[in-house]
Amino acid sequence: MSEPASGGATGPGGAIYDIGYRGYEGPRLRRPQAIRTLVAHTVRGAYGIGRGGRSKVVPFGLLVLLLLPAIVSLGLSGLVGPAGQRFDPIRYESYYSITQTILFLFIAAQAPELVGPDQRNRVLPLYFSRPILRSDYAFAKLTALFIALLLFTLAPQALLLVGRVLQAPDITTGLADNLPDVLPILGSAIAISLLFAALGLTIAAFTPRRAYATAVIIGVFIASNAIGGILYAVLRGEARRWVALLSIDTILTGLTSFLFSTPTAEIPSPIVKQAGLPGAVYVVATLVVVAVMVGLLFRRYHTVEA
Amino acid sequence: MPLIETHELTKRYPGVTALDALSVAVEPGIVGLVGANGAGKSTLLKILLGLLEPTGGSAEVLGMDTRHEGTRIRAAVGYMPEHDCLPPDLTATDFVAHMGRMSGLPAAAARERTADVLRHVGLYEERYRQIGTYSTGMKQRVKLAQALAHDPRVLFLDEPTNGLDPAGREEMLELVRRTGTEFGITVIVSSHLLGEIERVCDFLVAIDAGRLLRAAPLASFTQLTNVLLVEVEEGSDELVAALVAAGLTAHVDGHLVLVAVDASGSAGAAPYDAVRDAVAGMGLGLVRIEQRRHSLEDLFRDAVELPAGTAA
Repeated sequence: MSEPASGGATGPGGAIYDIGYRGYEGPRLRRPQAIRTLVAHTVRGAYGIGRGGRSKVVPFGLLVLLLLPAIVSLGLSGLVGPAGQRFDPIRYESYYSITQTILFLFIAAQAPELVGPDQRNRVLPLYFSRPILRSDYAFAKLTALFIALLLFTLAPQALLLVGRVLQAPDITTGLADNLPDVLPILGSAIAISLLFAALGLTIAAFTPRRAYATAVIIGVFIASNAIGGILYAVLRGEARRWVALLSIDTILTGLTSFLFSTPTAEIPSPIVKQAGLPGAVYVVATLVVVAVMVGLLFRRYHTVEA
Repeated sequence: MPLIETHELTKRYPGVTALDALSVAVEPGIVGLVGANGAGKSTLLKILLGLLEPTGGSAEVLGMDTRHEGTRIRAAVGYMPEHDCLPPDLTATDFVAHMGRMSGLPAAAARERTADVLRHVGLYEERYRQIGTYSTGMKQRVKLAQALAHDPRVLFLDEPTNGLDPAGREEMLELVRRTGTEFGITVIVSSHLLGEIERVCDFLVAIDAGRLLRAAPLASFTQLTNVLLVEVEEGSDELVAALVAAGLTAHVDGHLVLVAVDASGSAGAAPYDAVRDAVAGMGLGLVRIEQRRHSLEDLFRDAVELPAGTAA
């Protein structure tokens, strides 16, 4: 049992002071703080912050893509003048219908990133051996993805809003023209973020494999829209109206059209247009999907091995 | 009151009984939890953490019930799992601080303690590197550090030397010993290697197939037995015959002669005298004569003969 020759030969060359182990006597916070910590940690993770540089490529790349229509629109109206907005397809109420694929790609890429590694690397037992409940973990992850997606969805609308106000002949008319849209923007962004986050995170939570999760999330998106389109083409009469509740695209469009009180003629989806369903139906449909997904998510984390 | 106490603790999986009516009480100190792979060590630790629901029976840690006070237990306990459990894309500093905060430390305290515990486990400059670049030994140290981050009162270490080379094992055992003796933290350390665990712990809980073999201070596992061990160069059979003729119980075991003695000691000298006289009379070469000690291996070899539930 010989100690390694620490310090080499004798002599006062230097010394390592072992200050020993220090205990901790300070405050110990409870579950809510642990949940907040996990939410903050996960939101950062959704954008690759605190991870390697490569983790930032996808979320910020998609963010640039998402902002592009807003930038182009503002650029055009800058050239043509505000009158050009009348022919501009890029509007607050149509932004998500146009860019939903980017929103879904964000979910497909980042939702597995938030829950997969904890299962793949078996970090989950470390979380579950902390003073939290399994449901707290599920809640924190869902909240984090919701917040991350909300920031993502609000970014282009905020850019558009600021740009429009600044491009108006004067600030007062600019605010008067654009402020009424703020509440519908917030409402639709919250609803879409909740719907996409619940769908994506729940699917991702069922597999540690990133590629599977991404494929299934994209598959669900494409399949639901394809099934909606096919049934719309095949069905006739009353049944055809309800096709509007089958695909993610039409639920999203119905929801935003309702929140922005879009005139029926301007709704950017023939399926939603023909259905003529009351807007509240889309709200209910969204809530049902979210409730089912959250239920599955909590069940998954109740039973997952730790 | 014992630090950890289980009553008839049972965990059944379909087709497997992982824990079978295990009752044991553990006092503060460094406690070895020893048993073969699959004996139920990990299951026991997970139930004590409140991570698994027992099928039957109950368990208390620090006086708290594992079924109903899981979060309070986990605030006071640090857990190092047997398996890999680290995210490769975070630095050790970030990860340990995060886990400290998850255990209830304020942000500033978590950073401070992270620096402390990482230094304690022997990670210095490399703590700012991503964990994915670490060697197995360094990962084991991070696993220990995250369990210590919140200054727990009790530490559960599940096979901490797993996957380490001999030097790494030595260092990890030394860390476990220091953590237990210098910091006053009770350490429950599981292992399937008896020789390893007996070097660091002062109390031993031995389980086999989910049942308690024995729970006692380490010293009592290696106490003297009622067997006198005699080794002669040759003539073992003749020696036994002579000893039996002298009224002793003796038999040959390999190249050894085993003689029954009375451990109470009152008539203790008589067998020694008989052996000496017999050996001298027959002119045999005596190699050694000593009272045999229990070895830890006996415990498992003789498992069926020991009454279950001889808790201290």
